[in-house]
Amino acid sequence: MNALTDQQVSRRTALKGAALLLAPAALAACGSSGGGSASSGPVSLNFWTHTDPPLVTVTKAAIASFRKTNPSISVSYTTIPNTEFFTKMLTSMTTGTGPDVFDMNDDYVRGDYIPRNLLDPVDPKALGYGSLSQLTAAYDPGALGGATGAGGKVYGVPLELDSAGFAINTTLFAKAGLDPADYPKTWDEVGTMGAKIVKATGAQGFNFVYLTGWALLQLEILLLQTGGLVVDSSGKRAVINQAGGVQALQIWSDLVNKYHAGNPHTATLNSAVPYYDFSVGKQGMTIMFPWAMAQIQQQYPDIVKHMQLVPLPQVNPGNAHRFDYGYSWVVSAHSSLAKQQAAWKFVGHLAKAHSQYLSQAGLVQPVTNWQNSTAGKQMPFSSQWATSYQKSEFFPVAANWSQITSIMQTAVENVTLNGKNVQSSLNSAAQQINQAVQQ
Amino acid sequence: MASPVISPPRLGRLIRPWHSNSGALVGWLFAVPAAVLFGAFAIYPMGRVVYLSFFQYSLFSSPKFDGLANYRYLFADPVAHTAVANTLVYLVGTYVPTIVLALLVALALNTKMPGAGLLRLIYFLPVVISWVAVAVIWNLVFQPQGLLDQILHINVDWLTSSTWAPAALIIVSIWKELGFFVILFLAGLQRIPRELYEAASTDGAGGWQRFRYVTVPQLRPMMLVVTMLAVFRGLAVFSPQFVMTDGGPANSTEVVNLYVYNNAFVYGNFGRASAMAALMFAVLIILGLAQFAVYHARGGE
Repeated sequence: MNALTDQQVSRRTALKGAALLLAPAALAACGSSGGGSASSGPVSLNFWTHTDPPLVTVTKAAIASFRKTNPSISVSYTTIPNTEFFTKMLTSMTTGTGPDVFDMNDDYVRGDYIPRNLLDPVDPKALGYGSLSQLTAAYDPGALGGATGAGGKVYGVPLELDSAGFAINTTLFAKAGLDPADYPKTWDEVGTMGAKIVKATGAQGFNFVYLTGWALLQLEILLLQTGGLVVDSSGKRAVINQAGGVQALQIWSDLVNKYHAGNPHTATLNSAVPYYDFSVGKQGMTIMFPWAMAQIQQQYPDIVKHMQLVPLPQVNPGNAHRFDYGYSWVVSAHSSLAKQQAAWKFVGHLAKAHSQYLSQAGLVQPVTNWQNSTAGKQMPFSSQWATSYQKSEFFPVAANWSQITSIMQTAVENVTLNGKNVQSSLNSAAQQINQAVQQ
Repeated sequence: MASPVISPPRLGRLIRPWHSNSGALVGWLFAVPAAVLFGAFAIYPMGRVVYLSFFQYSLFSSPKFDGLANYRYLFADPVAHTAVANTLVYLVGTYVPTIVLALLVALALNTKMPGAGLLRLIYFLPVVISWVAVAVIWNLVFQPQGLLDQILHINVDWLTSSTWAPAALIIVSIWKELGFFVILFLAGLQRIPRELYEAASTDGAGGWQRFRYVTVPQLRPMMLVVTMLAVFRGLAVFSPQFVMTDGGPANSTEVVNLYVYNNAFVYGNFGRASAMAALMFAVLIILGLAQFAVYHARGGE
């Protein structure tokens, strides 16, 4: 399938404008009520998301309510298993069998989908806003950054924004003679406290998640704090082996190899429950995200009584950095104009269900002032999460991010699982990244 | 009394005038559907893969001719080198023991021992189990302090260590592939005429001599089939690495086909994936021809 050139995009944008001008006439012609489609006939949308049972439940209810007010737009909803999600999505997009609207991890939105012209820029009017600035103002500052391209163009609306927090098991803390109120503020403290938990209880003190695809996501948390980058601002040169990158991976290595705060070899291999070890009380500390908290609450409610959410440990607590990643609803650039408009209207409807997504699925959609909504206040550890969500901070990504993710996974595994040297592992990774981005 | 039915030779002579004119054409007509399908679904894709290997092609845009750039990338990419080396280690590590074990098991089962049929079924069962199910079973066996560690009284990081993960996959693969090769060897053994063994015994040959001078030469055609299948299956391996380790940890179980898959379907780089696939295809052709040459050089027919 051919990529859309700038000229084609411009023509399509012009067509979109013309369609909007003609929308009232089209609506009258098809006899639709005010909520009808701008197209002249019925529109059928293919909608895909990754698999997360609470997300699917809320989404199905939102689709049903959308269909009631928009009978001319039908929605065929498909959930894709998480292990196949990125591969199947990318492949289907290239063969023209992909969805019209779908959700996608923001790193891949910016690193793979936007550079390859696979996405339609947001249509604020179809979403129900007067302009892009109104849409932006409806969300927390920077919250749309996860789906914003290099030129500042916005391509998606947040399905979920996950800010990193830190959870501790108060019971394991007490058994190790530690005071949960005196939680770790730095990664060194995570190491020393983790080692005490290991020694006193035999449980993991602190562990990262050692599953495919998780390494770079977690390293990004440390990179934001050390000032490291994977590639420079040009996107053409790897800088992961420079000071910030080395410091970040060294912190990870120290937690494993110096402090022995956790054993990566015994971490869970169950990709369906990445936080299994913490959930069953076999781990004292973990990086935590709101969606994971919701999963733990539903599947392992007992552990919540032994759990405390604290701020993310920092390299320099005086210059704290947070970390966000998320999924956005996006629309295919290859769908017809009518489908794209219907898709954005549908996304606008889904986005209005932010309270249900938060209360029933634990997914934070960072609409302005969400913390003070009823659902926001009822969220477990709501005040701690509210602090984490003050201003969104996304990690800068580059083109070919999916390959860079694989390369970095290898570098992290070499250091943490095989005990190799940090600098040499990152030098090797940088060499491969340079090859990948320069080809 | 002579049969009124026309014998085949006479029937052949009767229809020859019609047949001789159009026999070749009829033969070709029968072959055309299969040839067309083979061309469309085997020859064309193979040719297309070789063609695309000279292009930068991400599926998101039109292919751009890029000469030998994809091949240069492969020769410089340490992951590609690792994938090739891992594939060779897997091939030798899995199929040499598998073939030896399969021959021994087949020899044992090729007797009139009671329960041989049931044993054959048991050996063959892993062959029909899907790799996904195998992964579930063996992940339990290999997990830290899992079944294998407990039985052997050891503490090995089977799937999370770059040293042990390749060995773990080889163990699983031997378990899964053994039955397939046992059946092949059994088929070969059962084609050997009993008279040869009886004659050898009459001549005073012992068990080892009967094996060396009767079984081995008679099994040679099957051995060619077995070694070719082993080489092709070993070099084309994908499933165990995909479902059990995803090529990790740290690329220690990355194999050629997983490299092709990742480049094509994860990174969206079909040109590079095609180059690796084309190289693999060339290697398989060369190895296949070499095996035939060795077989014929040793007196095979």
